[in-house]
Amino acid sequence: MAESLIDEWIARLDQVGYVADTQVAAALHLAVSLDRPLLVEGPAGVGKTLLAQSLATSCGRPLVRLQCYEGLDSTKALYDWNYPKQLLAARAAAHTEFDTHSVYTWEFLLERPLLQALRMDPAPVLLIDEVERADEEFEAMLLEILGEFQVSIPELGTVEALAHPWVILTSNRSRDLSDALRRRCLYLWLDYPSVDREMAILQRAVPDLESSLAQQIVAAIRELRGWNLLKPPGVSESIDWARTLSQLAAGPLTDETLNWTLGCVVKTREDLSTVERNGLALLWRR
Amino acid sequence: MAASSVMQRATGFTQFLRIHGFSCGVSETRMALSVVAGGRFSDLEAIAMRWRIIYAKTPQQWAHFGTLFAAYFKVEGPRFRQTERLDLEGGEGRGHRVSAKNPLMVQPSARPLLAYSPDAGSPVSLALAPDLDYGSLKQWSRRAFRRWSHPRGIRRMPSSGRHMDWPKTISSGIRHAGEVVDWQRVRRRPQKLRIVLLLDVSGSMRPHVPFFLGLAWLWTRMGLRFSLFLSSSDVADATTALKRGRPGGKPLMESRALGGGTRLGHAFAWLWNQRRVAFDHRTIFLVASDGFDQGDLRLVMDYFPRFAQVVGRIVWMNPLLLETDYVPKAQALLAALPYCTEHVGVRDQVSWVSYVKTLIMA
Repeated sequence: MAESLIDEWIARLDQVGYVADTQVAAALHLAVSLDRPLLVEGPAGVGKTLLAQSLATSCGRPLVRLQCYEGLDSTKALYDWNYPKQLLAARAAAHTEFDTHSVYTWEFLLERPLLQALRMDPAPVLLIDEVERADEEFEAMLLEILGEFQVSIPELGTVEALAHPWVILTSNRSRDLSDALRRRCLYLWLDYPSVDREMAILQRAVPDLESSLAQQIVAAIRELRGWNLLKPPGVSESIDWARTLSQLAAGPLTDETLNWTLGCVVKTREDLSTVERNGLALLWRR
Repeated sequence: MAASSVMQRATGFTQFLRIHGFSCGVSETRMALSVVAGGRFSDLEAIAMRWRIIYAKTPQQWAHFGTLFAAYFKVEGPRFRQTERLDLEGGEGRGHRVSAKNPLMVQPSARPLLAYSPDAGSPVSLALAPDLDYGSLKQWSRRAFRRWSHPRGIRRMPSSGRHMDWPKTISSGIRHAGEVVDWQRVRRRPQKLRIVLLLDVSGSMRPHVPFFLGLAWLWTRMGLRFSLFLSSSDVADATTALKRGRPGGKPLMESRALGGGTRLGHAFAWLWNQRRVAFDHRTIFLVASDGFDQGDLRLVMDYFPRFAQVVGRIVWMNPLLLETDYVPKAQALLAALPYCTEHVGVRDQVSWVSYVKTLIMA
């Protein structure tokens, strides 16, 4: 019974183009059934953001996305007051009796993504993307939302979620997250996929790709990941490479052609020199 | 194993995980139990897959969970305790502790759980020094932070900035309509100090690593933003492990995982590309190394000047600088020194205090 639920999730995600393994499916199943946020960590480009998007699409729920960055605060993530509108309202009421509290109502409130997600019905999938890029203060602010699914607005009181959104947080681990935040979440480590799964992903993303070429691409990408590069290629890089090579596959794939396309998978000058030093023959065995 | 049996042992398993550094509480146990109660599972693997999502909170815990689960639930035969094992040895050592070197005491299944052991042949111990005077170090560290965040000659900034905070001004105007307008200015964000320590843990730094780890551990408890990176052939973020460590406790990680040589250039490149967010004008970048680099010198020359452009201060703490007649000759060190704010001799508590004193007097 429990296994069939996992298989259902795999099939559901497969329908929207996301190739999930049992661990990913189990994580989504637990996050939904236990009503807990899911923290997804892993290297860049392995499909963390796509997982949330696929979850929303597969379940027919809207997606609310909050992209985190340094300096993000509650006025950009949670809510803000519409000050121009308040001023206009105050001016309009200049000659009548004006109650200050009348401009601190929902009418004058600007809802930002987090508050939007709490007040939407049906509940959306809330994606808090690259949460480690935000400051520690923002992390502390998230605790109330992730733990209680509620927000305190001093002028209006506590706003509780109409229905609990499914929350997915992603992190590339460029900074360590606090224990308090981790405690409130379930955890999924999304690593580079296995050979079979990466093959399946490539064939879903690039249907015209020949099987032999896909195998070579996957083997080369795995080789690159073992070379201790500064930016090891993720799945998105291998899809880009597969798309490019698929278009060039009509003719013979020469070393020169491969060199042109290396920019799809190698992203820094140092990594490029590492690849040149090790030699293309080691990467692309014919 | 039946699900009911697993449920009975779940509470004990949580306790078991805590011993191995997992920060799990009652809520995790309840979730784990609800998962087991909610479905029929064909085997333990299915339970382990779900419980890993609940119990693990970091990549390290994620990686070790399978071993711990197997060690707790899949041990064949009796689970020996130390006293029981002594009995098995024919009462020979009853009441005595068996030497840690005795191979009988090391369970093969538990071996990956052990942290570094000096007997295992690893070159550098990544354990915190147990015998430091942490109280005194704390006081001197606080003085150093104060000086680093407000160097002499730079006037302290006022708490309010130059720019108007229009939302606050309007909000205040509405609330106190009819009164004189209170012009609000944007408050400056407090200049919270951020310290990044890159610690070279290669063989030549062996005597000094425990001191630097102890100092770093102390700093994690002083309310500042602090990150620790260990560098040898490879680089690792040890901040989380450090926060959970304690003086005299288990080592932070196996130093063998970082390799044997020193590749400072690779470490700088890695920090720049992977942890760029930690470096801004408030950052004090500390490098604790003797500068003997076996890696690509071009990486040092390429990346180190970039840090000099973005961080507030770079301090190179070189243990060899305290040796008499020492002249820096290592190529990596010579390439980096022009970009360092300070090149100081620090290798133990005395030299640290001495450095802070000169910092205050400067």
